[in-house]
Amino acid sequence: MKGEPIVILLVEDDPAHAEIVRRNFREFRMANRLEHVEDGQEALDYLHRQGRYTDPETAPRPGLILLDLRLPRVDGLEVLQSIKEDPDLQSIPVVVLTTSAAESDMVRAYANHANSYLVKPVDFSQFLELMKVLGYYWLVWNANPL
Amino acid sequence: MTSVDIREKHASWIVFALFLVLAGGIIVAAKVYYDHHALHYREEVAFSLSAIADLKAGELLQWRTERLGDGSLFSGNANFCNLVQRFLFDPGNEENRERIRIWLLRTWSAYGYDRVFLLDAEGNERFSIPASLYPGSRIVAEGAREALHSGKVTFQDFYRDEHDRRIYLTVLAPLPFREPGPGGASGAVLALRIDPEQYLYPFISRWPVPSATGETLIVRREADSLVFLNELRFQAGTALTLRQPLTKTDLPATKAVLGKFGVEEGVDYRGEPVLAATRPVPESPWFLVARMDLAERDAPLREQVWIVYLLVGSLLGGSGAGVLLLLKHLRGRFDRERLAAAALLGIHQERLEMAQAIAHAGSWEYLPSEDAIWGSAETFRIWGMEAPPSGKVPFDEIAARIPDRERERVRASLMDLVITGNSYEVEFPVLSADGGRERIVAAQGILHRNERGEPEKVSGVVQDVTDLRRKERELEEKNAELERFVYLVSHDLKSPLVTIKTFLGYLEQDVARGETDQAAQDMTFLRNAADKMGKLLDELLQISRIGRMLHEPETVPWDELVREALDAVAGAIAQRGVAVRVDPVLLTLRGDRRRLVEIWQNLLENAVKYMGDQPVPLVHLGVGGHGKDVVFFVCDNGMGIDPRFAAKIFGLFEKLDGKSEGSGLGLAIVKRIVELYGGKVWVESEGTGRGTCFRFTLPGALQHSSKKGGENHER
Repeated sequence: MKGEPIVILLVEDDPAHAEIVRRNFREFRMANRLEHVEDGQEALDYLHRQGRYTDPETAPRPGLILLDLRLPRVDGLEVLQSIKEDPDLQSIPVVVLTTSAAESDMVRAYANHANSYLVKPVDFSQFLELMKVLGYYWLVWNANPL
Repeated sequence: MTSVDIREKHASWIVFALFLVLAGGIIVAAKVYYDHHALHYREEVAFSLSAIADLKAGELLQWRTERLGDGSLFSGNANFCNLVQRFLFDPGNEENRERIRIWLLRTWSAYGYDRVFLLDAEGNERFSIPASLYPGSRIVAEGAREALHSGKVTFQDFYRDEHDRRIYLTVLAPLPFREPGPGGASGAVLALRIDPEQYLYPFISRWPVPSATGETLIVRREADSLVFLNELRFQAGTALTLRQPLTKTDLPATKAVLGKFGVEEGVDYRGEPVLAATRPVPESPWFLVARMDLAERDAPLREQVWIVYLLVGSLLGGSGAGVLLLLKHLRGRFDRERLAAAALLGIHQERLEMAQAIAHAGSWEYLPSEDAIWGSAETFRIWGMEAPPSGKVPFDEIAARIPDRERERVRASLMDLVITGNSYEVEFPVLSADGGRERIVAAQGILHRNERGEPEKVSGVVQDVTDLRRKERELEEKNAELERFVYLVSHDLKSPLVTIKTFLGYLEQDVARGETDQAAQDMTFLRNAADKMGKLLDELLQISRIGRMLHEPETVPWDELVREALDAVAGAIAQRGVAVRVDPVLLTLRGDRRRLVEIWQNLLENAVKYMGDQPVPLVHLGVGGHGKDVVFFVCDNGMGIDPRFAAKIFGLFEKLDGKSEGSGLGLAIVKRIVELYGGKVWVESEGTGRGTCFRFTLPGALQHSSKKGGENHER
């Protein structure tokens, strides 16, 4: 674990799902900081430090992006594409976290260089387990340049 | 050639062959009958001729026997012989002379001899009844000596008397003496002379039945020739005069003389062909010939031949007439069949044309030799052309109706078919005659070759697939939309489900731990998620109804539709304090009234919902454009929309603001209804905060338009 708190950017339009993710990370004390945006456009604004997110203090560069696919305004896949096409952002691991188990979504996500694709389980304990594993894997074991 | 033609030809041949067989049969039967009849008839003639010859020969024999018998009466009479001896020794004895005279006179008169006379041993005539001027012939004298020598009654055959040049026969009866008389004479001879003219010749020439040429004759052989002994029917002075050499073997008489007896054809003394029966007359040097001309024999046959000819002719004529009648009947029958076939063909043609018209499919033929196309009525209708009377047009005329960009491709594929024989299946647009929308046609063809394998023609079908392609496209769109719909539903329904299950889990944990801090928040999430699901289900129901006409179409003025929509959203409008401006438009629409109202209702709801923090909210409704291009609009001065998201907003469950209460269904519904009426909907906005304009067309609902502008009023 590094000294600096890792910033996680959660892109999620459903407040309930955002709450679930937040609670899990708090539970396992994984992240020091969770930033939440509610649609694709906001996510792009955050990453490109535009609009409300010009200040690097309020919008620090994330070490992990949890991305939902179905988002208002700009779709999650478009956000993904934008991140992976940007040389400054493409090294940030993007984990797609969605309710969609559609194959077409997975194919397109990986085609756009998603680092992982996770389907939100309906079962409560599975959801908790998933969040725990995801936290350990990406925040503890996974190494990436900053 | 049709099958009827072929059958008629066959039938005609069969009838003709039948006639030939019949005619042949008649002729052969007639010939067989005639030959049989002729043979039978000739046998009969030959038989009767033979019978005549037998009869004559028998009678001649009898006659001769009788004559010899006459002679024997005297030869065997010793008293008469004595009397003759005494008379010859003493010729002066009157008594003897008288007695002899009486004997001879009786014999002469009773038996019809020409002359009866006595010859002494030297052959001198000594007594004669009747008394003759001439002495007896030397031939008789010689014969008498021979007869006396042999002691038998003999015939002196036909001879010519050297004194009177007449022909006689003579029976010589030797009269032997008991003892030699003076001079050593051993006997005398009684001669019974016969004049053949008296009885024999008439007898010979007599014919038992009437006949034009029938004749019997007798001949005898003399050295290497034969001699005719009697007078002939067709030639005078023949007796003992006419001779023929024995080398003339076709003469029936020659055959007889040479010992060939029977009935045979030959050539007679006149050189005429004859049928002759030949016999020897027994105990004589004579041969008998009974003959008649072949011409006479065959005369009845010739008559018969004519009758047969007549019969055959009439039979042939009859069967010929029968055959002609049969042919005529057959031709009539085949004509009726042809008529029926033609009528059937007409019906089939009519049916085919009707089927093509119904199926929008035409048939055509391409003739490479003429570079022309023949087409059915429906083909030309599909091409938007007037069908020529011949049904045939040059290919270029057809090609002119294909847009420039496609013409070469179509022509090339047809040429490819003609050259390579590959299948031809091509789809291309065709310009409509009135300059309207292009139609899509699909053409298919196969190549026919002649017996030499050269391309002869291409026959194919052409089908108007415009509607088909449009429906296919629509179906594809529908399918894609359905797929997306299912995907979205599964996602959007699953999402609240995840929320519910997870927060239920948290609640359970809290309950187990006895912590209640978060319970209220958890339950709020649960309630919201459940509400969201309920709402979603309502909206799904609603969207499933779009696309179906629920009500009968009615005609509604535009301003009435707008007023109804405004009434439906009056609450929201009042709450937000939105001013509404409606342009005065005199326009009537026709369609499902409820659906049409929903368009404006949803757009108004949308406008009010995304009014943002506009202090003077305003909505403007009206119509722009004219004719076919009438465009409706609903404009507001609200939040506006980022042009980047403009296309996305009409998608199902799409919303630009995640926090807004809408489900993202309203604009999708608008799009559906507009498309139902063949229209389009789009959004115009100069950007965020600068208001939004929704514009749409409804060509399917426009009855007529009469627009009156310039006058605005506010509500």
